[in-house]
Amino acid sequence: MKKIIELKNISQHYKMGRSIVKALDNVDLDIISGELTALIGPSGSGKSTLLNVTGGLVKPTEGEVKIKNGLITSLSENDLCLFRRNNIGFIFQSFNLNPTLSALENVMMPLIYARVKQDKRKDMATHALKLVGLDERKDHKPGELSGGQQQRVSIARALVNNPEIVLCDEPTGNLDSETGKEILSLITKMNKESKVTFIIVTHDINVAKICDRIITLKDGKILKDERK
Amino acid sequence: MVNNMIDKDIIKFAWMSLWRRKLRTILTLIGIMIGTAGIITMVSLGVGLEESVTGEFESGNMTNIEVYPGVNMGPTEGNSIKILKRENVNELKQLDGVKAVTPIYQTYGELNIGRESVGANFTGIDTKEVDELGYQLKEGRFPRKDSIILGSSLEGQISKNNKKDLLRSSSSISFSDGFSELEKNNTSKKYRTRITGVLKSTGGAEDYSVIMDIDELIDMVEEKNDTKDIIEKEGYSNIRVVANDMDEIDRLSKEINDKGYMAYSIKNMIEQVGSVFKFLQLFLGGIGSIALIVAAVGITNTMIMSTYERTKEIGVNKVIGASVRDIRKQFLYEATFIGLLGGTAGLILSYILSFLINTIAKIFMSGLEDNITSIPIWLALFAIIFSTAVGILSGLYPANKAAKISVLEALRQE
Ligand SMILES: Nc1ncnc2c1ncn2[C@@H]1O[C@H](COP(=O)(O)OP(=O)(O)O)[C@@H](O)[C@H]1O
Ligand SMILES: [Mg+2]
Repeated sequence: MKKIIELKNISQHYKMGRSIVKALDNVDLDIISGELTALIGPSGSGKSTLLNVTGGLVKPTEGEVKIKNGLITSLSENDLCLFRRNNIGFIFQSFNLNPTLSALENVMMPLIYARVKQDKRKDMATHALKLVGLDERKDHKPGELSGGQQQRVSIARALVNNPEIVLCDEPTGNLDSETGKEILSLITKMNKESKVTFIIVTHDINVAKICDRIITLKDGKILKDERK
Repeated sequence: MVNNMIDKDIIKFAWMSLWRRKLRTILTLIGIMIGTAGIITMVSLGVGLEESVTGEFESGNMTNIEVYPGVNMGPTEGNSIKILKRENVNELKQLDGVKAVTPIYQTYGELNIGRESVGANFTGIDTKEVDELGYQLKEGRFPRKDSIILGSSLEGQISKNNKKDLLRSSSSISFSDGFSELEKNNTSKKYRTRITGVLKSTGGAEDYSVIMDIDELIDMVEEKNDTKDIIEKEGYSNIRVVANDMDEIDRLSKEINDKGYMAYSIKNMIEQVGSVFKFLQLFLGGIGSIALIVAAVGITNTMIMSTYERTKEIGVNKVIGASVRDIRKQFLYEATFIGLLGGTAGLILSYILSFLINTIAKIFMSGLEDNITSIPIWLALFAIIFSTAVGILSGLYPANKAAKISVLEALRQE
C-alpha cells in the first residue's frame, strides 16, 4: 500500500482580530493511493482548510505536506502551480466554470496550461466529457447547462489531465439529492476504473457511506478515522 | 519545454480577454493613438522642414538678399528709401561681406521665336555680375549684352511648339501695349537677340522669366515709352545683394534694414516659417506627450480594474494549472496589444494628418513643391515600438498584481 499523501503535524492558524482561529490543529494524516476518502465534520471544523492545504492552494502555518514523496510545502508559488497542473484536480461546490467558454473549452483549459499539443487537446477533452456523459453538450456554455451537468463538466475538467489525486470540496452541495447521487456514482466509478485517489469533503452521511474511509474532523482535529 | 507554443495560447487568451471588453479596450486605445499621432506629427514636421530647407540649400539661393524700397510707416520715419536708384546700388556695394550687387528691373513683354510668340517676365540684371548672382544653368552659358537666358518652364513652353534648337533659333523681344499683341501684324518694334542658356528649375518666378542685361532692357522700355529717365522716376524693381557667406545674411539684412530698405532673404523666410513650425511642433508634441502619459496611466488603471473583476477567473485558472508566470504573461500581452494597436492606429492617424497638413500648406503657400511633413520608415517603426513599450511598461504593475492573486481569496469571491 503506497502512501500518496502524507500530512505531518499540520496546523493552520488564522488571526481574527485579537483571537487566533486554529482551523487545523496538529493534524497527521496519510492517504493511500487509490483510496476514496470522505472528510466529514460540522461546519467550521476545518475540512476545506485541510483539503486546500493538501492541494497546495494554501501553505500551512506549520507542518509538512508530502505528495508522491515530494515535499510541496517548500515549493515557490510558481512551482506549486506547475506541480498542481500535473498532479492534482479540484472539484468545488460552486463548479467554478468559465461562463464565457463552452463545456469543451472549459475542459480544454488545463490542457492548454499544461502545454498539451494542440491536436491532442480536443480529443482528450472530448474523451473526458464522454466519460462524464456530456459529450453531446460539449458546445454549450455553462449558463445553458443544469447544475448537475455543470458539475459533470467540472469533473471532466479535473480529470482531463489524468491527475493521480482529485480533491472535491462538497461536490454535491449545490445539487438536489437525486443529482447528487448521480455525481457521486460518477466519482466512485472514476475511482474504481482509473484508480484515481479521491478526497471528498461532504456534509452528507450518504456520501460518506459509499467511501472506503471516513475521516471526521472537529475543531481542527481528527476525531475519528474509520476504514471499511 | 516547448516555449513558443506556450506563448501562442497565452497570447490568444490575452486577445480574447481584450475582445470581451471591446468598448473599454477601444477607449484605452484612443489615448495611445492620440499620443502617438501627436508625437509622430511633431517629428514629421521637423523632418519635412529639414528636407525642404536642405532642398533650398541645394538651389543655391541661400546667400541672396532681395532689397526693396522701405515703406514709410509714419511722418517720423524720414529715412525710408522710396525709389531704388543707381546710388542705392553703390551704397549697398560698400557693405562688408558683399560678393555682388545687381539692380533688377522687371517688366512684361513678348519673346518671339520664329513665328511663335510667348509672353514672359523680363528680368534685367547687371550681366557683369551674372556669375555671382546664384543663377544655375541647365545648359548653355550666361548672357552678356544682346543675349538672354530662359527660365526652365518658359523654355518648356516654347519647346513644345518649336522643335528647333532654341540656342540656335533667331529670336527677338518686343513690347506691345494692351490688345495689339493679339493682332497678326504686330507693329511694335522687335529687338533681335540670342538665347545663350536655360536655367535650372527653382520652383520660383524665375522659371517663367527671361533674364537679360538691365541696361539693354531699360533702353528698350524707355524707347517704347518715349522717355529717358525711367529709373529716376520709377526706380529699379529691387536690388539683389549676394553675400559672401550664408552666415553673413542676418547681419547684412539688419544693416540694410537700418539704412531704410526692406531686406528679404530665403534664409530669413525659412527661419520665420521654421519658428511657426517649432511652435506647432511643441504644441503637437506637448499634446502627444501628455496624451501618451495619460494613456499610460489609463492602461494601468484599466488593467488594475480588470484584475479586480477577474480575480475569480484568475484564481480558478491557477487551480486548473495556470502558473504565476502564465497569468503575468497574459496581462503583459494584453498591455502589449493595447500599446501596439494604439500605436498602429496613431500611425494611421498621423498619415492622414500629414496628408492634410501638406494639402492645406500647398493651398496657402503657392509654389510649394516639397511636403512640409514627412514620415520616414524609421519614424513609423520607432512610433510603433515606442507605443508598444509604453503599453508594456504600463502593464507591468497590473500584471504582477494579477499574478500574485491568492487562489483561496479568489475562490471565496462570488
Ligand atoms: N481565510 C480565512 N481567514 C480567517 N479564518 C478562516 C479562513 N479560512 C477558514 N477560516 C476559519 O477556519 C475554520 C475552518 O474553516 P473551514 O476549513 O472552511 O471549515 P469547513 O470547511 O469545515 O466548514 C473556520 O472557523 C473558519 O472561519
Ligand atoms: Mg468548507
